[in-house]
Amino acid sequence: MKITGAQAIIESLLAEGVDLVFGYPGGAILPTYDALFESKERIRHVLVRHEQGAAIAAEGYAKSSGRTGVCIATSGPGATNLVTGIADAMLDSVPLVCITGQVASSLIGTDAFQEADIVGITIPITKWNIQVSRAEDIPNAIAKAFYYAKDGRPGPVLVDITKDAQAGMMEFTEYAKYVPRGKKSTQHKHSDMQFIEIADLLNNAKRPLILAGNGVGIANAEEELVKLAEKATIPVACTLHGLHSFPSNHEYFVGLLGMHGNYAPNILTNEADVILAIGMRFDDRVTGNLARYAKQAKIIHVDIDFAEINKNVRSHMHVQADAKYAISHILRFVQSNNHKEWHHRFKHLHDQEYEQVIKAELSHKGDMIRMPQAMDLVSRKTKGEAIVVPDVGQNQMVAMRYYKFQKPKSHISSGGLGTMGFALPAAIGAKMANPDREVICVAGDGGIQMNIQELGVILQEKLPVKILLLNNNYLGMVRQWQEMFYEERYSFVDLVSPDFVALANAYGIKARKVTSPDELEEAVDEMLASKEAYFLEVVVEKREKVFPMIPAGSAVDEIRLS
Amino acid sequence: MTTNNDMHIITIVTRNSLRVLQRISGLFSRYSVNIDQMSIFSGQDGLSYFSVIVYSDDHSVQKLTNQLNKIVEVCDVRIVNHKHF
Repeated sequence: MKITGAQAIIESLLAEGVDLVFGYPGGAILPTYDALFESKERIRHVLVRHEQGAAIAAEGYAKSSGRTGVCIATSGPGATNLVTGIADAMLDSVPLVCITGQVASSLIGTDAFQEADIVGITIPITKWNIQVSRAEDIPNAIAKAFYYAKDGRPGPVLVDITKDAQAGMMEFTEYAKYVPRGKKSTQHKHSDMQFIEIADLLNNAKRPLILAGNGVGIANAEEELVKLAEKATIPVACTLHGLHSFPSNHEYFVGLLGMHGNYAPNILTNEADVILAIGMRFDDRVTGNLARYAKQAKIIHVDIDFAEINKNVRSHMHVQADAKYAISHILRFVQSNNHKEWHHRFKHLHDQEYEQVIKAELSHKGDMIRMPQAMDLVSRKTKGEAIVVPDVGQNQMVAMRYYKFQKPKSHISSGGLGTMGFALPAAIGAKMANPDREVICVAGDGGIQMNIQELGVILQEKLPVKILLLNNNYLGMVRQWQEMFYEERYSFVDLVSPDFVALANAYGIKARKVTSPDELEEAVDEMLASKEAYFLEVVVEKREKVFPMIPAGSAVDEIRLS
Repeated sequence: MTTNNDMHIITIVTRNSLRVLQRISGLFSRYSVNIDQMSIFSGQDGLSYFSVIVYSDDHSVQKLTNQLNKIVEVCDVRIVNHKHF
């Protein structure tokens, strides 16, 4: 059967099981949009308002579903607008297939209208990318793209397709999924002996600690992790992306690691004798000062990406494997143990944090609402079962500290790149993937305005996304650093914002603004009860700071409560 | 600049495709490992053989080669000699 390259793109996507793409049309991608028009019953296309929104929405879709997200853009500015989302997906290991149009192959290298070397630009921020200039090469390129997006440690890939390749005719027979020849193994063979040695270390440990990262959720190893923690009675601390992979009401959950994480797991990282790090990469926001990070501990590092082993922290033993495989094998050999005193240490330190920070925040009585009060309320009202999509900054730290996640694939956040503007488009993608779950976008007044145009998607697609805006009229996290480390020289952090309620209304979205603590609960109830989209602006205290905090350059056990 | 660091020879075998040099050299510059000498030979087998001489510390070279290994087109990476050259 003779079809166009553009039709081959659609057939390839369908063969990969794609039923939803996020995108924005333009000159060099016109043939593909013409083919999409023909296939709109088979592939749903969501028209974003800016290509960055397409990449990030595809990330939200992928992170909340475990499937590969797909976004489409035109050449030049369309493609370069994807870049931030691609870089975000690279750092957070999100499987993403980006398809970009390119000027006709005869024009490449001539500085043609809307020509950008997007393959060259995205080499450092993709797992793999390719330019295709012949129609017949399209199916194989897309097959490889889907393969590499998911292979080993997931990540973004980009397929740049010239306009003539999209328009050209080709013989399309059967779509073949990509099978690599002489594949470099991302998962090594492991002997039982290795897992017995690891289990021995854990069995003989007096103060063992599990650090759970993004890899646990990616490998769907949440149940195995609970079993391991329970069988070996080991406390579990989570990174930002590991947070939704262990139930926060579990008795062995000891909290969040890192700069604005919990007091106990940060301090006790420097007292543990054996640390089992699973699917995490010892990011600087987790380790603080590396020279004083867990020097006393024997570290067992499980990661599917060999390049992460010994990259930041030297491990005593390592397993290059996915979390599910590694945990199930370690589980076979661990024994139950009594670590009562060790668990008690966590409890004791948690109580200190609770008294000095958490209780103080939540029971604070004043004229203004505090961010933790709003998040705590949302957490309780949704029983920790919603998908929460924070932006970046104080709102993000507060959301993950105060939302008590009970379900996997529920915390969708930009951890590695820290992309402001992430929340709104990511929440759109998450809602598309999970129409039956409550999806709450949590943003500050800075970040919401970075991709505010995507309210148009909520309008057009009638998406019942809930938006909780924590408005302190400041770029709060930057302000906090300027207060603490730059002698209160508040350099360009003061925002004059529009009337958000009027703005949301202009997009046909129900909206409400609350300023008084007395109104908060009723307003949150109204937001959650709404069957359609709802924009709740909560005006919060202007000068709040997020604590605990490990100041940059300090060790994890130097975490401050105030 | 190079005197404090040991000499390493890194050999890389890749599929011979467009941009593979850009992918490889990009990683060297990202990891701040300056290339002292590089030779590339394209075989009849569709593979390219890189031999790269750098002066750097062991840890940086190891981290760099771990990343080189992740390039899809790269089939093999070896650090031929560690120091004492």
